Amino acid sequence: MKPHRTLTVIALTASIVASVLLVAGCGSSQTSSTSTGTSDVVTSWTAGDAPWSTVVQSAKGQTVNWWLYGGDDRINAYIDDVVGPRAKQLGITINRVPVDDTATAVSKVVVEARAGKSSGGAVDLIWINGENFASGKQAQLWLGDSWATKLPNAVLHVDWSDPSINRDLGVAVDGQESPWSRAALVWAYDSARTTEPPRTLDALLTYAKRHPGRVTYPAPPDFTGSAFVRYVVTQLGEDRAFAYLKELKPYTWRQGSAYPKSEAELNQMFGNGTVDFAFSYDPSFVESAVRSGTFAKSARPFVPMSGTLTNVSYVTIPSNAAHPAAALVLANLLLDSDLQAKKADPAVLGVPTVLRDLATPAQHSQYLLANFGAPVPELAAAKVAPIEQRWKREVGS
Amino acid sequence: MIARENTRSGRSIAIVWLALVAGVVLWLVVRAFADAWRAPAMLPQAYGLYGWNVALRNSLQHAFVQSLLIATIAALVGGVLATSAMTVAVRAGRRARRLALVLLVVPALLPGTVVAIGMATFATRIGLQGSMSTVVAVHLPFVMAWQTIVLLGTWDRTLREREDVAATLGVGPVMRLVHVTIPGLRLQLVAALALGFLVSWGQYTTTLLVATGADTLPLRLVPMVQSQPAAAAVMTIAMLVPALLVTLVLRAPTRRPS
Amino acid sequence: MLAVAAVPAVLVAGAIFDAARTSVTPGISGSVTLEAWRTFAGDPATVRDAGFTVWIAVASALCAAAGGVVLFSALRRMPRRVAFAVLLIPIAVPYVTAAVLTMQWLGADGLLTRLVQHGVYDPVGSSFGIGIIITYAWKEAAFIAAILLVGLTRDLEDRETISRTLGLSRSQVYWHVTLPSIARPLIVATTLVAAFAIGALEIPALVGGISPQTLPQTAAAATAGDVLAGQSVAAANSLLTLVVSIALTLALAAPLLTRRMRWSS
Repeated sequence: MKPHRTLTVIALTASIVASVLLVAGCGSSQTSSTSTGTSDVVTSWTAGDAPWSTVVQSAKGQTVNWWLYGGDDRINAYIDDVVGPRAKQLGITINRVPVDDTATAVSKVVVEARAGKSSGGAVDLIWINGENFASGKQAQLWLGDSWATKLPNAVLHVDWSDPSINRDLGVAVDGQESPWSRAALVWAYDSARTTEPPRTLDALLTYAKRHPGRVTYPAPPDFTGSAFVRYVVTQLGEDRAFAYLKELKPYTWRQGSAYPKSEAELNQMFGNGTVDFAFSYDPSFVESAVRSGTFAKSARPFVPMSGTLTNVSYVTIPSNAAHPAAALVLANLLLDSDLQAKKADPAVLGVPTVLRDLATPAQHSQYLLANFGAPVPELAAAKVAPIEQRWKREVGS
Repeated sequence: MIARENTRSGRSIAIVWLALVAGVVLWLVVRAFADAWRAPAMLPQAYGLYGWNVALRNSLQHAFVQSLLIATIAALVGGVLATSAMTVAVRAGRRARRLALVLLVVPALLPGTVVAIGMATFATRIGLQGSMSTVVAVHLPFVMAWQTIVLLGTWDRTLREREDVAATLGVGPVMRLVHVTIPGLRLQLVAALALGFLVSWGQYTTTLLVATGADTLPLRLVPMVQSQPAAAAVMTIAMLVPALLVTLVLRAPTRRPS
Repeated sequence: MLAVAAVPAVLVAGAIFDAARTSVTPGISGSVTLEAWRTFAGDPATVRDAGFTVWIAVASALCAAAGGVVLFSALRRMPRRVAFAVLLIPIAVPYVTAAVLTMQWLGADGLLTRLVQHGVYDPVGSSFGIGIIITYAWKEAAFIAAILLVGLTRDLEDRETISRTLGLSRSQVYWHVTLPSIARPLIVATTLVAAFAIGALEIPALVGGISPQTLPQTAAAATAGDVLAGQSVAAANSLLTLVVSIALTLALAAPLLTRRMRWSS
């Protein structure tokens, strides 16, 4: 066969194969269109008609498509290197689907629901809280029957009477999500540049006036920027908070004509010395940033004197998940006291545990806080979007 | 005189341009191996493999392979469809030809946002199950539009005559495509496939908004740019290498006659 | 053949139909409401952002066109292989990468800042979209120059030579012979650039600011907020983007459509 004909035949064959792949939807490890038949097992278990062992047995050999924020390298390492092997022992494989924003995962479930896909969904488990959970709950997207309260490890270790656990940004959890992690809004300053950071909002305003252009925060609806605005609202009330932010604006970076688009951008600006403070809902972010070289070694964490915003984050299972049994087993595994202890270890993640009977290990790092002060509860989920929009109208434009 | 001056200025531009490209590559490589490089320092504060470790831990390989597969499938499927359509379009009546070209080329003018947001639901509705197939479906209109633009005007009279002769001799349409059309257009087809690959390879807007959770390099890169700049430099290099390799198969079109 | 040509059209038409449907049926219930459109239209930022999007698209396209013509003029007499080797590199660079490179050169901790140390204007995050325009300009100038080179014919050089022989100055030849010859492909290429810039997210997401934002930026932000209502608002946003894109494309391509100008090929 002449060379160009051979090429032609190869190209045509490749095209046909590619077309078949396209139509069949093969090559994607992230979805399964077939019902696994485990939903009956799950239903029986949640109804109390079948023991937990049937769920564990049913989950063997399954892959859990766990959609979660993928921008934190240490969390990814914890899941891959610590949780993954333990899941393998139970016969489960974790397929970590990194997303830039949890809303992407919820959007996927919404899209499937709109298209009438009630089983075999692409998403088995989501790391979630707040507004995203509330939206999904409102649309009845999550697995029900209070599955989270029935997990064996939850029964043993989770205090469901704790309002920080049974309510997620003011929305009743109703067992539709299982707690996984705690977070606190932590600030950073550079001890080489700033001797004493401002620990009250008044002190922050005074600092900004004395050092114009050295203070800023990410623009909502960025997660961290929104958290800062919510913190100010919790301290001052909504109207006074916006008066405060408007008073602060001309003394912020670029006289408030521009704001960093994300926490990452703020971190870079802080690391470069453009501004004097950064903050994050990740309590170990200073240590991560020092390790990645974004912050100088002289960076230190701090929290305001009156305490800081705290919240609990969870994992939830969509009602159309393709592998609900495996997702349940993984959610239960995440509450294992060994895994939670490792997560709290500063050498791994340094994130506080959600288990009631697990002591938080002593923090032996200058980049981690041992005490976050008095916890300031978050605003209700329904208030978040209106506050972000008000910021956009009154401060951001 | 004009020609000489233009050649001199063209040479200067080429030299400046190549120097810029070399500078960019050098910058990327240094950034990829800089464990800490806070501004305004000219040189990194620390060197190492942290960026590579982060990139690899974040499944750079998986995203790379997914992007490669999606771009290759989109380019091949688009190439076959565009070539098939053009094969008949060149002989069709004026109206049919115009209609076909409009159908094929207009997607290049459409905003990716509307196609992606709608495709998120439409793909599920038409039974596309996998995230990869949905992403290929959302890339395909844009890939085919550009492939059609490349193929437009490449059918010359000689090729058409040879196709007509083959048809007269009783050669069927598929065999004509395989033995006459494709060999006659192989350079242009390679260009169309290469361009289709590049269009899909770099897609971000559509892949993001179709929200399938597909793991592609552009989707991995964007969040990393400020949070992990060294890893982002590694991913940028990973994005650039195949794109630049593909351009090697693209050749300068010959000058058109008067 | 029409069936084959209809494949992308079916995909696009289906997607647009579903986007329209999503915009009037927020949530899962499927009940029709114009709430998303009311929210979108009632937001005072919508008109501002639409205007900003058009500004970005037009400014980027015109800057790219100017750059493309300069590159074309400088490279046209070089061996084709060399000219295209120079142009293919920026064409092949994905848009995401182009934005990253702009940040690396011109951003707050970019190469220029490190070289000059102080007083450097940072176009990234500019409320006039300067960073976005710069990125499109350098990347798309190469594309436009390549289109012009592809359309270049031998007789243009002949006509230029004849015109010079007849006593026209270089600038007269350029304005009255060269530019009219390349006007048609220039308009087509510029329109393609503007159309892409209207609907693309990657460059504004990386080098754009927070206010004003392009319509794709606000669409993406809408999907990140209230997921249920946000998807409908994003769909409404994307349909407005489609209308703006069609209007701008028709406006830019008007000289071709009305056939007022005649060019030799």
